Amino acid sequence: MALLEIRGLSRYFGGLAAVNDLDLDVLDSEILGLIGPNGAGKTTLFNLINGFFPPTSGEVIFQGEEISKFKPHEIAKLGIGRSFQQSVLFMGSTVFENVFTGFHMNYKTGLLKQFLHTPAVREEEENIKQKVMEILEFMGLASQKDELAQNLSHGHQRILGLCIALASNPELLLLDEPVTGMNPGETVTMIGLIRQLRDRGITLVVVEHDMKAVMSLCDRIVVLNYGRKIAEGLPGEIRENRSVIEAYLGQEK
Amino acid sequence: MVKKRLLPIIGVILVLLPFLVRNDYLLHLIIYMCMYSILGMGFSMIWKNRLITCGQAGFWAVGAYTSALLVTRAGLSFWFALPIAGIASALFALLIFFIALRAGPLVFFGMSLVSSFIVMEVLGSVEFFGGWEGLLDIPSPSIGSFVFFTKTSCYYLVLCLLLVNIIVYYALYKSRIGRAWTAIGSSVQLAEAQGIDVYRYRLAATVIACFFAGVVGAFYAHYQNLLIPTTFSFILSIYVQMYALIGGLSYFIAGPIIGAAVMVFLPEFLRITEEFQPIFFSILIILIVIFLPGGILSIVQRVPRLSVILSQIGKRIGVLQ
Repeated sequence: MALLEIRGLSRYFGGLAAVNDLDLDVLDSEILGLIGPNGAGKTTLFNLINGFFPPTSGEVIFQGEEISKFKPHEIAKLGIGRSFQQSVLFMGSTVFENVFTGFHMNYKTGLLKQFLHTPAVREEEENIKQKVMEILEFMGLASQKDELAQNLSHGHQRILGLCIALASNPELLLLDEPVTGMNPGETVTMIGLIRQLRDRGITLVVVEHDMKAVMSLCDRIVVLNYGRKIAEGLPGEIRENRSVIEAYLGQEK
Repeated sequence: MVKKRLLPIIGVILVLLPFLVRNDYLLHLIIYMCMYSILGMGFSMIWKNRLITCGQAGFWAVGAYTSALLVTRAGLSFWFALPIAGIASALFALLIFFIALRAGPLVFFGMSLVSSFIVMEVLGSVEFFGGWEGLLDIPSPSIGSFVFFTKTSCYYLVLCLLLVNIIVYYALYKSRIGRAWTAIGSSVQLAEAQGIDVYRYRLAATVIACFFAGVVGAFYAHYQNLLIPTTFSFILSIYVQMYALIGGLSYFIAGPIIGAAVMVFLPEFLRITEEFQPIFFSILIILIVIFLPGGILSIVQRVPRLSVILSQIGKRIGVLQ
């Protein structure tokens, strides 16, 4: 069964169709690669799924629920997390605080109790602090927990972005260029981490330009160009697909 | 850790201050400093969400007039009027900003600016509010036969307000609510993606800040015993921003207190008359922005680094020997 279904989704910016009548299924517990030349509409698609802007037309259905009119924070509550293209982090806070803040939705105590800082709240915070450490240890950032996010290396910043997204306990995770700008060693680590997330039952959609990484990581690949889907299939099929090669390299004369 | 050890000392000094100062004018300035710090902390709380308000003077006025009118016209006790003034100011903020905030930070800024002008004009033009001559003969607060008339008693009253304000703000900043505000301040996109309802948290910060501005306004009305609309001009809202900026924008509680202290006492000690104060403050703010962009309190943060450097120099010399 498809976890996320996209039906006839379009988004226009003025006269330009960034996403044009797109149909897409994301299956349960798969890693779906989303590739395409610059400006193909990949990030726009993420922004539509995650509610940063509303679609011009079409539907986004997550677990049987139409969510295209929802606000970003409501969609996050349903279980769609995302990481960003640039390192969007809480830069002035420490690594630990970054992930701790990411746990915003997991509190069960009410706001008044929060304000009064009752023992129940203290206990809850202790539990969450433990979960923060679990995530940091799992992702290999535990040793840097007191470092400011802005002082981390690029690779570690990307991993921290993933940690924050994990804190919201998502079922579907949208990763925007997770390995771009990383050195080969960092890329291997990141790919390993993403695989482990899938093994934990998280479904992932990955936008990435690093073809080697995409081909080795993804179960299935969808190719976009000018906001349309031009190909879909297993990594091997995509590599041989004529229209994909044309989209990237231009037509043969 | 040093802070915790300092707290009781600061507490004792604050309680004994009237007996240490023994000067009514100085005490009067301290009372103003306390009121201004509360306004400044409100600005800081809103700024934590990366919103800039230009209208704190307006909400101060709403609180002041609500309390003054309730006490003089309706004969209510000051102690009831005080919270009502805060609620009136908070409701007024809710009314203005619940639409403005939906349109984004820029519209928020514009609306806060407009609101401070509107409040002053309405208070001045409508006869019911006392007109441009203002409201006179507002009684001082009293408990039984004891009247808060002396500077010393008023100082303790405003000190209580300041402490309540600090405790509430501190509790908020320490909680999940404060963490959400910090998150919004550092990246709205990421905060939204983590499930934080940015609109609601921003509105909450604004309303809380305006509540305390209203409460302090009520105290102001009964401390001064008269209200004149032109006191609540737009320039006061700008001063409120300057308290936070001079103290340090990243110090949400201590910053505005230090800033208010500097802006109340420095002109007095330098004997700068009222007409020249705007010029003086302008120069001060330019100097602060150039040389201390983190505010006066950022000096404190630099001191430990200094000690590290000194100890390292010490080690080097030791090695050389």
